[in-house]
Amino acid sequence: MQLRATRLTAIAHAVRRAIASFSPASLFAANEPGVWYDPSDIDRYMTPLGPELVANGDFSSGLTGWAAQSSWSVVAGKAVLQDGVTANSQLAKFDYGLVNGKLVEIRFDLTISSGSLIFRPNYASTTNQQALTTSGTKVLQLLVAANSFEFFALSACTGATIDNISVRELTAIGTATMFQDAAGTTPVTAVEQPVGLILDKSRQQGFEDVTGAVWTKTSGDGVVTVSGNQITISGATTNTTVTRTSGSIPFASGIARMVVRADWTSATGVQRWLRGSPLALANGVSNLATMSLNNASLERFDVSTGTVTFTVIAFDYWVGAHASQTTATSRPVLSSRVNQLVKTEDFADAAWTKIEATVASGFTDSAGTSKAWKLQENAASANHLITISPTGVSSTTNRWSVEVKAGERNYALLFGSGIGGAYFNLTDGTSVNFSTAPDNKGAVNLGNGWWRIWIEKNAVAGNCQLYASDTGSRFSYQGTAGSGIYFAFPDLRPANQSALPYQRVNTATDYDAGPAFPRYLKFDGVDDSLVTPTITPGADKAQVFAGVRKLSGTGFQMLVELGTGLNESSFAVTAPSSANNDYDFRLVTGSGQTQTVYPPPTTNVLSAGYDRAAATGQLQRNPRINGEPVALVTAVPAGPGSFMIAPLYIGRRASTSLPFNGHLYPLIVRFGPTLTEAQITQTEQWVNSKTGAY
Amino acid sequence: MDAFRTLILPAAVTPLAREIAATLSPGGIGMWTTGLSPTGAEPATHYISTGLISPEFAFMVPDQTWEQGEDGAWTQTGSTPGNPEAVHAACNTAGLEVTLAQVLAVFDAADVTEQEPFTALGRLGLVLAQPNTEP
Repeated sequence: MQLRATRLTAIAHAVRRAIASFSPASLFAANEPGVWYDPSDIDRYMTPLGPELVANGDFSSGLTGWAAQSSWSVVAGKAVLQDGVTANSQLAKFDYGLVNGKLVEIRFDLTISSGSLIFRPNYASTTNQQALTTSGTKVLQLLVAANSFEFFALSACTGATIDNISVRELTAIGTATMFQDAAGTTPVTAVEQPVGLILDKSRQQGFEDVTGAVWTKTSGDGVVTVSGNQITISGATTNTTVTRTSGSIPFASGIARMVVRADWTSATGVQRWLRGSPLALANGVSNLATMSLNNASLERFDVSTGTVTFTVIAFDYWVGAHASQTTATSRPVLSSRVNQLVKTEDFADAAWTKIEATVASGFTDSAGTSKAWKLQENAASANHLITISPTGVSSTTNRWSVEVKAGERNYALLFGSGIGGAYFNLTDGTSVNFSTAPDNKGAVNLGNGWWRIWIEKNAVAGNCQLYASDTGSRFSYQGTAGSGIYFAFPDLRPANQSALPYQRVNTATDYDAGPAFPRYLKFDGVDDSLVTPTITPGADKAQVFAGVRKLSGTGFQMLVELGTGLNESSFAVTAPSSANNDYDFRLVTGSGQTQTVYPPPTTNVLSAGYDRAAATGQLQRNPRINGEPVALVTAVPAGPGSFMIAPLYIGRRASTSLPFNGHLYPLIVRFGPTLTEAQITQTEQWVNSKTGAY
Repeated sequence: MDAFRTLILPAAVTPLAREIAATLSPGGIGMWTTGLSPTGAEPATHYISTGLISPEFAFMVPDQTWEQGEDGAWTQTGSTPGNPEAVHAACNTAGLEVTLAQVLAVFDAADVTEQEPFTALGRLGLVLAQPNTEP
């Protein structure tokens, strides 16, 4: 057995190495038209961090370097706030080397027993102020506008300590590929933000440097001098503008980026324009790289009064069929959520109802940390349980699970309305069904007396409940105050996502979005969609690869389509096609519905090798799902000819109808010669590495 | 921080609401293009937009809160009126000729909540209106 496990591990490592060495960029090596979108790219530009900016963030030198009022002291290497104070409660850091306008990651360890501690990333402003009410490691990513931050108590709190404070710049944010707005000015920095623009990476050989720009004074009384990449406007008393009058920046479907530094002693009205959009600049710093998808041919510097030197650090251009959505409410949302519960580590919260029981925190969990809680009975003759009502859970095979350990009671009843229940013996992991049985159940031994117990059933999950039990065969009995069981890390998810680890969820927008959880664009099935500029395929062959989670089984839903539909030279992939729980690989006006059905919610890697010159409708589509060829029920053959010149619509037909309800992981569309079997397999494996479908 | 809203309008006020939204913000262009009806058949009796909107936009529009009882019935538990005067003033400043009464009519007819879209549709007894034929 050990040998087999070792061999499987070696194979898994070999597969990972093969995937790691492959890049979809290789599919576009000959400049084939197409697109490549990757929501997981957020990890690339949100991970690299610059040097630590906070000295003595671990308080190893007491409060040296901190502006701490009298209620703060250092105890056991942590900054401790005196309980109950509000006056004189500030702990601040000034002038720590932060450059204004930078996106930074702020991290610290907080403990707090009651009340809230306020964190201000800018000492002088309430912007982005956070009220901290729960213990844990806090990680914030913020665009900061000041060289200071502080903690203080606005109302009385107890047990507040802070340690390991860190501020580091996110150095790769300038190469972000997702933006919250359609113009490309505000990068997506976290899950649950809208995606108004996602850049096509198929042309990404790095940014194309836009050199040869010529800057010319166009208005005002300031004196303008240009030296290399430096433009100086001196002594302006009326608004003075310098405009780029030549240079090689194209104005087609691409995105321009400008990184600029502005230095001045005294000036007003300092602005930089990029493709027609103005942005006020901060003094003496390199501001965040700003991109713009606008097609306006205007790059400009403005100074209303004073003298300013602008240094153009980067001015470049990223070509490609970038997909955007101008309507705010119609933007898909970047997400990584799996666990449908909330407050999964805070059972004192009102989201969890305690019935004839109380909960206590701070017990050692299966991982050796102190995140376990205890479900403690009261003395009533009654049910003793904790329960939560999840929302938005699909009708599917759902798995409700939680880690448990015997306390004074050796049994637990895990129950879910709609799922059924089972009694678990917490000494040996055995179980017996409740009168309403689940479809499946199990217990995984985690060691040290801990078990992850789970039940599954194909139904809508209602209340998720955990009972203490005295005999393992009943859930209502005479309680003993304080007796009970230990528990931690509850989780409710579709069963076919059970391979993913437990996911901490505080709220719908605050959850563990670590790399274990695939990133996806969440399309709401109502009005979300993206569209590219016009693509010129110039080929009668196209390859489509997509990681997809389908949440609905009925009605045509458009995943991706070339053109607006119902024409002679397009293709489309729908998920599903009608009431059949299938996928439809459509070509021209003919359907290509899969023979096998895929009831939602289901996660799949879809691929199609469209070839309009092939002999049959099946061969014209060459559909594959999860790396295997699939047969089509209907495969209406199409006539020969190149694919049409048109935009690519994602998530909705023509941005107006047939909305897709589900998740989109990477999407690759390539127009060009048929790929080899090895290329297809490599690409599917790469997409699956970002999707987790098989 | 953007705010999540589901905004449903009767078809009769939708054209004006589209104009107002497009006037208030570039991100408001293209709202309410998804039709709704009680049976799913066209023509649409209502239109829906759902997703994240800016705090400024959220401040201006009305919203309602609802709770569902054990019997499944929905009860409205609260509402905020929005800021029709500010909307009216912003429209006029931007050159959209609209009266305060017209803005109020849109606001009165609007169903705006923080509910997920399919929850709101279920409460109102509406579904997406789709063409009957295969696309």
